[in-house]
Amino acid sequence: MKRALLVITCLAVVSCGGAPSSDGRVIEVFGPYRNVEADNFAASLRQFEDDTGLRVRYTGSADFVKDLKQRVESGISAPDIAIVPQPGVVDELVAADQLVPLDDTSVQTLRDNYPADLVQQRANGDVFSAPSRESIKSLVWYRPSVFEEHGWTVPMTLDELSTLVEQIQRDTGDGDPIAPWCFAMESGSATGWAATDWVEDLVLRQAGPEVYDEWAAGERGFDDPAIREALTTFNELVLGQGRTAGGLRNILQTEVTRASAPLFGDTPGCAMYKQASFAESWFPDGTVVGTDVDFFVLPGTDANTLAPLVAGGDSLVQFSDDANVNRLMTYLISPEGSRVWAGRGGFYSGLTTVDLDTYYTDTDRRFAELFRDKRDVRFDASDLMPSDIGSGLLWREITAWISGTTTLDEFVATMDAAYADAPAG
Amino acid sequence: MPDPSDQTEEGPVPTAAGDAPRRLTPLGSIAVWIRDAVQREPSSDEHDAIEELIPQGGPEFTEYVVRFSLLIVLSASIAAFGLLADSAAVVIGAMLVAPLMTPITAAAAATVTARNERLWRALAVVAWGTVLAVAVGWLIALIAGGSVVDPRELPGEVRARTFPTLLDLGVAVAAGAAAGYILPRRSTSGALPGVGIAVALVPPLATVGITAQLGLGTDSRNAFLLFLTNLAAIIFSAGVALALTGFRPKQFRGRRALRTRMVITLVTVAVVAIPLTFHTRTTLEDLRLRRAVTDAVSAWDNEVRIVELTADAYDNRASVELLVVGRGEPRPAWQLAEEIQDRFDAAVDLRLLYQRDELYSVSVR
Repeated sequence: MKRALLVITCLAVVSCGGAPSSDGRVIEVFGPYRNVEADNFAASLRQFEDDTGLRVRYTGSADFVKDLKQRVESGISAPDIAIVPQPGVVDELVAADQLVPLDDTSVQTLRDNYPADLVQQRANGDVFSAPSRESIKSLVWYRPSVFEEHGWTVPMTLDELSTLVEQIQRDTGDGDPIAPWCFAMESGSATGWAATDWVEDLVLRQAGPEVYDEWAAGERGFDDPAIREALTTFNELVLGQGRTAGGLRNILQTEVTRASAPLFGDTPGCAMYKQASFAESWFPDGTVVGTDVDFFVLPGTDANTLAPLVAGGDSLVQFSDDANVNRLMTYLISPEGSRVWAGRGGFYSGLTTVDLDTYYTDTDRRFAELFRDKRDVRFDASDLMPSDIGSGLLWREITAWISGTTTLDEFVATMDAAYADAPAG
Repeated sequence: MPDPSDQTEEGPVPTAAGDAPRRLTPLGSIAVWIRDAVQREPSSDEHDAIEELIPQGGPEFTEYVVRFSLLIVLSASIAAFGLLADSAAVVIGAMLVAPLMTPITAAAAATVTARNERLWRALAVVAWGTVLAVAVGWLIALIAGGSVVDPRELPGEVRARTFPTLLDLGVAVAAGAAAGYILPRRSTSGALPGVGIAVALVPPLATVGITAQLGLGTDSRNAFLLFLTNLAAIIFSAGVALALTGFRPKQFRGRRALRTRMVITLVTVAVVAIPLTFHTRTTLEDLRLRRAVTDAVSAWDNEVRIVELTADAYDNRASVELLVVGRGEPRPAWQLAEEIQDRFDAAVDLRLLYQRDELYSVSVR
């Protein structure tokens, strides 16, 4: 008997606290946070539950985009509130008339606590989303002690980074080899996003912000020389033989949240780990940023110019028009809504009415300073693209290309064909 | 042979001298029956059987210690290799070779007969055996363990000895009582290997050594807790069994000392039972979680089959790793996580691996 196996990995987390409200209503919140991040978000909800007596259930899924679409389309299991990292998805939900606008109190709380450019008012005056946690994608994490031991220095340009990668391979070729990079991308149906983050950073650095904006907006295809150059650089710098701990098998099979494990080994398996600011939540318990591990911004092409940042940001959106849900939305927009998480670390947002010194941890304050520097900052391009492309096809196709199933030519052709077929707007 | 003179020392039995027999309540009758049974004196053969457990000094004792040490080294070696090879049969073999039951029962006998020198001698032998067995486990893990055992994936036989519960205490109490009953009766000594298997003494010690060598401090402490559980429970229940079958101090002062000793032993058992109670609660919570997960999977999709389930409940949260096989498209994992939470009422972290089981049958002519 032959048996065909299709293996699908799914990761989900559910947390719930507080007593049920008197009418038994449970407010459902859905998002991408899992494990430690889910704990931190759920901890932030406790105050609301204590104050109101309402019960909130948070469910987080690695397959967030796919799951959210299913929940919304089913019409019966849409959450009350969702935390969406992709502005492209938010736009689609607004266009499909699936969201309810924030109520006046929520909008006022938003205006009171955030800069005007983060309040996205639609043409009819409604506001459908509120900013929440922000992240910086362009960070390279490393262990200063390991760098010091081997005499490696933080690179100031992409060329220096390339030289450092070769040096790391050369220095540790014998004995216990240390791969230049830790890199893994398994993330259920979202597998591939870790690779797109890499490519976006390279496009922004090598081709500049204007080309990046055109590419994110779909005005410049994947077959464009600038995008091809970034993909080629990514291939050489990161995917080449001996460049990552565990090689291709590890890249494809290891969960993205566990990618950094070799960095922290007694004998390190890798020297550097490029991942967003939120990767701090994935490090081993007790890891102190600044001592055990530190970060630098992925360098640009010119040492005299501050390297640009690719940033991510989560948005809060509301699916049900209900007084209790409105109360929760207002709470989540307010500084109170994220105070506990911010205190624990791993949370930074554009809130303007909090005292940076007391509200955030030292590490998050360092992230905040990066935002305040006069740098070019661009939102994650794939998250801006239509979700079928940026949060679906691109993830699948870049994974197929990395795994060797398709060539670079086939990859870019598939992407551009999908753009050509996509409905305008 | 029973000594009738001893009975007068014990005070009146159901009748006071010269009085007519008194009518007794059912409870009183049982008490009298037990007292009659207890007041028997061990036969000289039974006495000798206990006396001969450990030689009392001289070259015979030295010879005994050498023999004991050799058997400990051999049984601990068999146990360590069996544990590393994850072979239950080999580990049982080690239990049959293990000589620790003898000095522990001797300690129990010395406790109830209030003979201090014998007690300390027996305990010293037990302590020596303990050190030796742990050292052998450590050494074998040093030589062979690293290459055959991954500390993150301990063999089942090792893992089974790193989480003792109240069930282990129950086994040790019952087996200790059996040992106390069997040892003085040479005719029943054929049952002794069964006692040795029931309360394994050397495998937990070998596990202490193996896990210590692998740097697994908590597992090592838990395996030692299992040994302490067995040790305390055997001394206590074997002591009670021996006391009930007539092994008691002859003098009144000795009897007071017996009470004190039994209380001390009982307190030791109670102290050991505290961490075991926590472990038992954890085990029961894990069991409740497993049931919740099984029910939740049925509610989620009754077409799928659970192939592997790892469920861990701690700090009001549930960590679940699940491998299921199904024929159709998987239903959303978040629904399963919520189903589990509805049943277990705690924060849930779920890792679900869904295998699509598809059969293709093709014929070409």
